[in-house]
Amino acid sequence: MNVGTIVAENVSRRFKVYPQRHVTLKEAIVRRRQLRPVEVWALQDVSFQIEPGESVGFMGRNGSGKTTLLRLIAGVFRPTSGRMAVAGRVGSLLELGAGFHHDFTGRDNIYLSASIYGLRKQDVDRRFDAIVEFSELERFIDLPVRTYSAGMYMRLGFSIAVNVDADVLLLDEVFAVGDEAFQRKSVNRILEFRREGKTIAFVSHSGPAVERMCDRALLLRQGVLEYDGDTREAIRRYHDMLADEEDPAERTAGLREWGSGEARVTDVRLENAAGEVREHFLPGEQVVLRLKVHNREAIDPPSLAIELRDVTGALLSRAERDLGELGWDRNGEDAEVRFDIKRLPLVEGLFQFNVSLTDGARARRYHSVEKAAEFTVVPQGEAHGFVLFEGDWSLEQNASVQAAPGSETAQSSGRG
Amino acid sequence: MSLYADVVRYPDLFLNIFRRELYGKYRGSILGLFWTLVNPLALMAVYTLIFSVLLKAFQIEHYALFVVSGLVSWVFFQSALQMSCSSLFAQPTLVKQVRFPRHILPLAVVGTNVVTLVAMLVVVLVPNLIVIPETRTTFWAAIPMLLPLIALASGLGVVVGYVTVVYRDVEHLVTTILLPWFFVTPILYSLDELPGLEGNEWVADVLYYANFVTPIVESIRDPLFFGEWPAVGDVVYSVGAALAALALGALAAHRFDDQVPASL
Repeated sequence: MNVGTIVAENVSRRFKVYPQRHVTLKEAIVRRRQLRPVEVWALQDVSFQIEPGESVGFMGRNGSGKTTLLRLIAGVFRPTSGRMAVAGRVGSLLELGAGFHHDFTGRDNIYLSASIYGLRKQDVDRRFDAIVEFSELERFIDLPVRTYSAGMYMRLGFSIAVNVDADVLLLDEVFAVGDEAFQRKSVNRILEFRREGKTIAFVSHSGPAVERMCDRALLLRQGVLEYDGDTREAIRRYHDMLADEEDPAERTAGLREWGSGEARVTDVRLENAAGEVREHFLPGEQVVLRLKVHNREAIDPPSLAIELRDVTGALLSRAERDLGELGWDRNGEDAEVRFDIKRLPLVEGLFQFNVSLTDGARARRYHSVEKAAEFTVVPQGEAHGFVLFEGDWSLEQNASVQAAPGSETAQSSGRG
Repeated sequence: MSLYADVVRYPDLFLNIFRRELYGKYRGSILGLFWTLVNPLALMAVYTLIFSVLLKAFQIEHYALFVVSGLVSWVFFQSALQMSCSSLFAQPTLVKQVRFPRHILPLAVVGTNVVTLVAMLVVVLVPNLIVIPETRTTFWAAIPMLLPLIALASGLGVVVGYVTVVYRDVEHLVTTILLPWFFVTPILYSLDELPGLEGNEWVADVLYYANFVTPIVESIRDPLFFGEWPAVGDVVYSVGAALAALALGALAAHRFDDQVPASL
């Protein structure tokens, strides 16, 4: 087996889960019968082979077995049945600074941490300068790490983890640590890893992140390998899976809303250009957000804010309008508001709208609803990234000005 | 049993973890070592005051030195065992994220206690050599007898380190057992001089051999305090107990190693 190869053959892993969090020896002896653990199969019959130099994404919902699979690759525990073989040293960016002693200096922690990864002292001696230089902690390396800021601590952990000469690197989407400059450096280091032909196993919930990093993705669902192949197809299936699994009852149960209640948003619907209620849209498609506002009493024109957020809850954009400008009648009731998005500026992913209704001065919150509507954007064509990125191309050359024939649509990844 | 060889197979790993644990124990100072020596010496002082001076319970000459010559072994054993309990349990991120020979953790904890053991031994040796001339020819025989003691603590340390991860109350259990265990181990007294056992000397034999720490304590105290060579029976028994403890440790590690990351 070549260095960097990962082979999983019919790997299954069972965990015994006890009804209560901790089992005591006393209970194990005294209440032997009541303590029957529940057997949970975190992974079932998973097989795949990853060749050296491949970057593979591991996708799936929480509890789908991603972490278990990564720990099996790391060798932290063994499969209950089946075979997991990894050729070469595994480096992990999942938990930076694991094993650090807070009273030790940065220098001592480098030796400590590297020895846990399996490096001998002379190996660390050789890499020491590179680690310190990468971490940008030259001035602090002989201070105890308890004096470090969280960012410095992470930087040191990261620098060690990427310098232990790993053949297989495990990482998740938060691998980029520190300030913006260091994050860029982290990403570059990982890309360098790819160029060097190291194997990368990447766990993520974020489609675009997996797409940027990986040529191939594995999709897990409740411990079973659902799909192994092209990243874009895996992402598409993952989004479908998310949409399928969240049934309407769960959606309303998870609805979070609050506010004083003089006026409420009672209904939120997403429609396409033809007026059909939909949850899936294509990039650039027309989307109409329809809201019903019910006022319990006569109120001055409220202000309505709509937030567009991604699946992690990060704010992508916000639109707000004073309903008085749209002709709110103080004495009327049950208004219907329509927000027409001519071209949906998103490429792919799961998104949500949060809406909130406040008084005109925005001092009083009548009603806020989180996840008032959710929708999936299904990628189409050669789209990449999050954002629909369009422009007209033209070219000027020499003295004679020539407009480039026609205009083209380009789409590219939005986050650098 | 090969897990114990990992200490020499991965010397850098062992030394780094050992240093880390040592730092935790002594807070990085020589004074830290001093404080760990104060505990047994204070115990010696108070036991001598109560049992020898006030109660006049024992007719043992140089009682203070007698007590401390036994305490050396016991304090090491007790402290190693207690500290081993949390050796794996206290390192969840390390144990869950990185593959490395985890059994090094309890072994490193036992290692830090060996430092105290050696320092204690030196502290005891000096007055013994001065006050009890007979020990001058025999004292060195205590040194090889430290090996079964350390091996015993290592084996049991691995056992409690692993079992604590699976059963959270083991640490309390160990603490609870150690106190009565101390009193049935002849450290404050000698099994040869128990008036209550008159006519039932076999009880002394049971107390002696049923408690596997006793022969080890005795075979260290004989050359160190009495100026006698360790008894052959004690040596054989000690080595046997040590090997059994090591085997038990290996068994526990084999049985529980895979459960450890999942249980934390």
